[in-house]
Amino acid sequence: MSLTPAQEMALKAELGRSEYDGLTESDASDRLHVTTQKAKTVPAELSVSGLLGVISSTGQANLSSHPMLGEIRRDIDNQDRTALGVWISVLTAGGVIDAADATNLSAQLALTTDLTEEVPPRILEAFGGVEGMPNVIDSADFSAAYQEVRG
Amino acid sequence: MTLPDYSHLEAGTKITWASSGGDKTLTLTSLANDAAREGDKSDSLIDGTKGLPELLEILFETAVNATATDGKTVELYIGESDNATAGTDNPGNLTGADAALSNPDELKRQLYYAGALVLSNARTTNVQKQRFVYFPTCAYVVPLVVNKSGQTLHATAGNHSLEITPYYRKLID
Repeated sequence: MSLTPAQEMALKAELGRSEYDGLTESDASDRLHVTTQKAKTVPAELSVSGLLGVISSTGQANLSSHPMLGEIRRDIDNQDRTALGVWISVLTAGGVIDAADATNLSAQLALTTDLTEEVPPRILEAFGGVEGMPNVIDSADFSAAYQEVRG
Repeated sequence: MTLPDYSHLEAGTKITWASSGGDKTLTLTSLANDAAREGDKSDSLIDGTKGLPELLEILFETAVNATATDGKTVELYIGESDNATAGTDNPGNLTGADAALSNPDELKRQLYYAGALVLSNARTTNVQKQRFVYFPTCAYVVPLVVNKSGQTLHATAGNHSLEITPYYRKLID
């Protein structure tokens, strides 16, 4: 099915977007029509047990009676790495934990997790208001536009 | 002058939206999951004698390309307008012409919810139909379909249609 000039223009404008940079015609068509997967690295989830597990028994004992334990717990729950980094410095300076505990805790703060993120197809947003635009772009129409914009 | 004893609802002229061959265009073929499609704005629902219809009876038919999970839906919204021009005075950024709608999950909240066709997985990829009743307040309506079926809608144009029949109040002696 051939596109009207306005529809063709909308398709070319879409293919001109930076997110199609470097994509083959087939990958660009997938980006437009199909939900794709994207690898994503995010900070690992922090937990009280995970953090306590990497410090010495002396450090654990000192922490258990520390007056600011509630504040520290809140920052762990909030995954507030910046605040926890400060706490590590404060607790080390105050002799609550030792240098080895501080190193282990800092390593925990730096841990990451690899996730796979679903990226919705661009067709959901690409052609809003373009009258009569098909819900799926015919491969011949797509190819012609791709070659003109990216070929 | 005698007062009317009773009244009834009288059907007006049905308006059909389809990808082709209808009174108005609404292209639902191969509509992706989570995507939305609006149809053409209707002609005026106001009858010269009977006025604004009291209600609209809606018959919505569609099918999915692969069996949907039982209970998933295809949603139907109505954008009302008091202006005959397609793109004028529409809510929800509707253009009043057959087209995709971007950001439908946000914009549909600016429209009236007419109902949702609740899919049965027992009907696999066959046509499924549901009726709704809607009470209009403006002379013109623009239908919006939001596909929440988890599947792409069927690629066969004839499997999708939307019929709206206006019903007018008639007084009888």
